Order: sequence, then C-alpha cells, then structure tokens
Amino acid sequence: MIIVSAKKQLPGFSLDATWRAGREITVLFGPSGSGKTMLLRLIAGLDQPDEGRVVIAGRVLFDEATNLKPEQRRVGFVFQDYALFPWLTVKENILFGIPKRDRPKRAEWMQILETTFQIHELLHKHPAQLSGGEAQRVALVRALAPKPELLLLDEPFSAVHGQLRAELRSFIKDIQQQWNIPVILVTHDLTEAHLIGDRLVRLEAGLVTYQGPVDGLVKKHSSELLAAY
Amino acid sequence: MSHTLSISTLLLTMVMATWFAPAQVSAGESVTVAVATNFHRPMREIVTAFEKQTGNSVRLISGSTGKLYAQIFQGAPFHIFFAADVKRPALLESEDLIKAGTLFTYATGSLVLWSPDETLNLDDGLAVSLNESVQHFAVANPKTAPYGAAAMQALDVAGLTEKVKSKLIFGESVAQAVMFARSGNAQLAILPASSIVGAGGKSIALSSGYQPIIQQAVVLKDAPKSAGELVSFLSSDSARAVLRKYGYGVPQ
Amino acid sequence: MNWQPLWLSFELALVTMLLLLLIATPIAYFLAFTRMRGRGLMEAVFALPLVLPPTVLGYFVLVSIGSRSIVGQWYHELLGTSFAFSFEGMVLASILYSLPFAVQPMQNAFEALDKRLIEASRTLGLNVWQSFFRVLLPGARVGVITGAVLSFAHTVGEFGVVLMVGGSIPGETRVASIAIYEHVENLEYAEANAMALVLLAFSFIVLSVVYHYNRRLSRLGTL
Repeated sequence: MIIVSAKKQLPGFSLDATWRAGREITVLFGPSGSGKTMLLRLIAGLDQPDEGRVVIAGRVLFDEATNLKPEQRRVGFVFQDYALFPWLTVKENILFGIPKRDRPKRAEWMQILETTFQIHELLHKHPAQLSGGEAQRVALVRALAPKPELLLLDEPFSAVHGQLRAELRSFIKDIQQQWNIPVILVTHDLTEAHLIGDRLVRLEAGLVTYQGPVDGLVKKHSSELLAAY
Repeated sequence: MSHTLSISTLLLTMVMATWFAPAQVSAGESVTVAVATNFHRPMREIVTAFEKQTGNSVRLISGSTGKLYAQIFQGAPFHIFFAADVKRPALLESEDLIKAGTLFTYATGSLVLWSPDETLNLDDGLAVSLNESVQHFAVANPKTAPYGAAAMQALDVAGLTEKVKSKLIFGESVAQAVMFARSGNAQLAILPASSIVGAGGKSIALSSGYQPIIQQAVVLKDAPKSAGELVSFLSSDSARAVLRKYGYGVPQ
Repeated sequence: MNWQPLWLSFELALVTMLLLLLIATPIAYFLAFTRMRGRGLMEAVFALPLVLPPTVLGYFVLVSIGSRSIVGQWYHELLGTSFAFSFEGMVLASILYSLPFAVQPMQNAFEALDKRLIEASRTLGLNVWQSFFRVLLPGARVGVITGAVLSFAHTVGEFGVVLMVGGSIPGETRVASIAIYEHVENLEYAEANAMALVLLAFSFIVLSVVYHYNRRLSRLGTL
C-alpha cells in the first residue's frame, strides 16, 4: 500500500531506491550514510527527490505532476532528537497537530491520553523535565494525534538502552496494531530490526539491496551480517 | 496565549496614554525663532520680555548656524533666523527664502580670553597660553563656528598659532568649547563674551586681532505679523540692555 | 521640570519599536532563511545605520523628505503638513537608525532555532504561515523581545538624527536627549541633570524588567 521510488543526487552519493511496504512495521535498515533518513524525509515532504513517486494507499504524494506540501501529506514523523517544542507543556505539544477550534477531537485525545499511553503524569511538565524515554513517548503520541496515514520513526532506538528498548519496542508494536497504521522505521541495529520489523528494506550506498520479510534476510546471510554488524 | 493578550493590552494602553498625553498648546499665532547657540541666552531674556509686553507667544529653537541654515533650506517651519554670521543670511536672501528687505544686523560679537581658574593672571593676554600650566586651550571649530574662526584669527595676529598648536582643542560648537573650559579640561579658552556671563572664572576682553563678528538675521517667508513686532522689539531699550549685558555690540 | 520632552521621547521610542517589530521581522526572516547568493551584501545594507554617523544619516533623511524632495512634496499634498520637522519624520528617521538593532537579534534567534521544530510543525499539519506564528516566533521569542527592547532604548538615546530631521521644535520634536543637551548649552546644569536622571532611571527599569523576563523565557528553552 506504500510505494516509494526516489532518485536524488546528493554530494557524495546518489540515492536510487524503489521499494514497497504494507500496513505493517517496515524497517529501513543499513549503515549510516546509506540514505535511510533521507528517504524518510522524502516521504514526509521535508526534502524533494530529483524524480520519483511516493504513493500511500493510492493517494499520490509525489510524482511528476504532484508535490504535496508536508502539511498536506498526513504523514507523522518522529525525529531522532524528538523535536518537542520546549516552551510548551507535554499536553500542548501533543495537541499541537489538532486545530484549536476542533474541540471534540481535542477532548477525544485527552481521553485517550488519560487511559492509554501512560503519560498522564507528564502532561503538565515541560520537555526539559522529561527523561529520554518519556520524551520519546511524547514525540510518538504527538505525531499520532492528527491521525496520520503513515508513521515514520528516525532511529528511535539510538538513545535508548536495555529495559527501555523492550518497552519502546512493545509500545511501537501496540500502536501499529491498535491503530492499524503502517509504520516505517529507520535503524542501523540489526537486532532491533529483527525484533520489531515485519518487513525489511536494506539500503547500501543509496541502493536497495534487499526487501522482503525480516526473517528472509537473516536466514540468507546470517553469518556474514552478524559479523559485519 | 494569555501572555500575548496581556502584553498586547499593556502596549495598547501605553500607546493610548501617549496619544492623550499633555499636548503642546497649538502654535496659533506664535512666532518660531531659530537662533544661533551663542545668542540663545540673551534671546531668551528678550523673548520673555517681548511675550510679557505684547502677549505674543514665541517658540525658541537654538542650534549651530550651519545646521539651522540646512534645515531652513529643507523647509523647516521657522519664522525668524538669527545667525552667528553674515554668510548664511546672505545665502538665504539669494535663494529667495526670506521676506524682502528683512536682512539686518542684530548684534556684533566679541571675544574674551577665559580661564576657569579665578586666580590666573591674564594681564599678558593671549601670551598666557604659552605658560606651562596651560595644557589645553579650547576654541570653537574655526571651520563651522564664526567665533572659532575669529579666535584663530586673533591667535594668528598675535603670532601664537604655531606655538600653541599642540595645545589647541576644538569644540564642535561654541557650547562644546565652553564645556571644555568650564569643566576644567581646558585651562584656557577663547570664547564669545556672551558665553561666560554668570560662569565665574577669570576673563579679559580681546579687543583686537580679529574682525568683529557681525551677526545678522532674516525674517523668513510665511512669518506672521508678530515676527515683525519681535524684530522691532530688538531696538527697544530693554532689548539693548540685554545685548550689552551679554557683551554684544549694539548696532546703530 | 518640563516633562514634555520625556513624554515625547517615550512616545517616539514606543511607536518606533512597534513599527520596527512589523518591519524588522520579515527582514530578519528573509535574511535568516534565504539561500540567495547576495545575502552577505544584503546584510551589510541593513547594517549600514550602525556605521553611519547619526548626523549624516539625519541629513540624508532630511534631504529625502524635506520640502524640496518628491516625497516631502507628495506628503504635503496628501496630508497638508510637512514630513520633515514633525513627529512622523522623526519616526521614519528612528526606524532607519534603529533598524539593525531590531533585525540582528531576531535574525540570530531565527537562525539558531532548531529547524526540526519547524519541520515537526509541518508534519503535524501546519503550513508555513502557521508554523511561523506558532513555532518560529514563540521559539525565537527572546530574540524578538531583545530586538524590540534594543530599538526602544536606542531610540530613547537618539540625538543627532532626530535633531537634524526634527528641528527641536518644543512640544513636537524636542525630545529629552535634545532638551538635556540644550540645558547644558545654556549652563543650566541642574535641569540637565534632573532630566538625565529621570531618563536614566526609566530606561534602567525598563531594561531590567525585560532582561529579567528574557532570562526566565530562555530557561524554558526558547531563543
């Protein structure tokens, strides 16, 4: 249901990637500098490919005739450093994507926040007062509030370790299932890719070298990969 | 959001307050007089007497002759211009900016040698500047102030210019030269006689060595009738007394 | 003591500050985000009032809006009064004079703001305009306030420019800085000191309040 095809000439390397994803968790995997984050940005509309096509559930976000602005794409984005608005409270951050006039929707979200996401106690704090794990959850919930059609996560595991990783993993999985929303996440950590992903797209130097079920990759090149990573 | 609201309200209140703040009584039939800085104090006394006697109101603006001229040239709303020289009034006349026939000499200025130190002996006149105790010698800038030019003239005639050159400090205007001297930063100064009235210190008049400074005035176009009345008032006894008090020569 | 010059200074500074907020913000935005090649040149142009001697700037403004200029004549035809030697003329001169003091802090704050915050805002559904008002301005709040305060303070202290353009007309263009200078010229040191002290005290209070507020804001992570 998600089709991405992008060519972009960048200083240092060329990106030329074509791949698909379904209503599942897709992991964009590869070493740093392979173009993974750039692909996320192209999907969200924060950068533009030189040529290509981005389609979600039949809706064209980008092709020769179309280039939707980020605010029109209905794509949620969780940045690597969360990009929470420091002068707003957690509650204001989360409700940021819902227009102020839309009171029913805002009320609905407040309800969900109270019950579902375990951030009830955080609502009146400011981002500076949050731990890394808490900030990440807030960033995730904020991205979900406008009910996007696709959720993008840029290196969500990079700042998280140990027990928190497991919690984050199940958090993301729960979200994907409960909301039935496609998720694309970027990581260079193979173990995490294996643990969380349903589908894997591997990028190397701007080219897709594998796409398919996560198990497929591990089975095919297990020893080689485990040695490299 | 509430922050923005309260700040906006505060700003709006401030703007409204200034709008309704004590406004100046509108000009009406008042005369606006632009006067060279050195003549400001005597002019103020004359104007006060004039207002009392005739009931007219006068707005007084002082500045350097050059600047006032430039402003008049650009349309400044002045009615009478009292310059510190003859050059600027003549220019205004040639540029057809004055009421015909209103150019006149209102005073002649003279110089004094002045020291903030009362105990200093000035009997030797300008030669006192050669003393070691005199480190700085203040005059107004000869390029922009007629009194500065006259001061330099006097020094030339006395043959002292080269010798005291290193001690000379130039005030941008007469007022600044006065400030240098009165603050004690200059131990000696050549100043207009009017500028030291009431200032204490020690002074002697310099009666020779320079062209007397002829100060002329013009009445500008669009001036109200009361402007003419003020000009006439200058010939009155009380006005002349003020001129003399400030060390100006009175024209015949 | 004559309070009029003080009122005038306050009025002039306030009006200049408010107008500068409107004018400097788009300029700062443009300079911060443009990728045009002549950007350095443009920044230099907007910084010119910093290096021009005030009387020179004042003189150029006077020539540009005086009774002999096209602008001055057009203004007179339209409104019946002269542009130079009026409060409005002083406002124009002050805007030019204090422009760099408004633009630079804002530009710096805009540039220093994490671009990702604006990108996050876009992905959350806000367009460029909405992101400007809800992310860029609040995020750069300290810079905007600093720009406003500096232009206010700078205008209060203005002398050469307003003297040239305003003509020191009592009640209309004789602001406090000029009035103080004239007191000194007339050897009225007591009056000069009194007025200067009031001006100083007022400016000091305004500045401390604003800088204190700014400090509290920056603890919230805004620039």
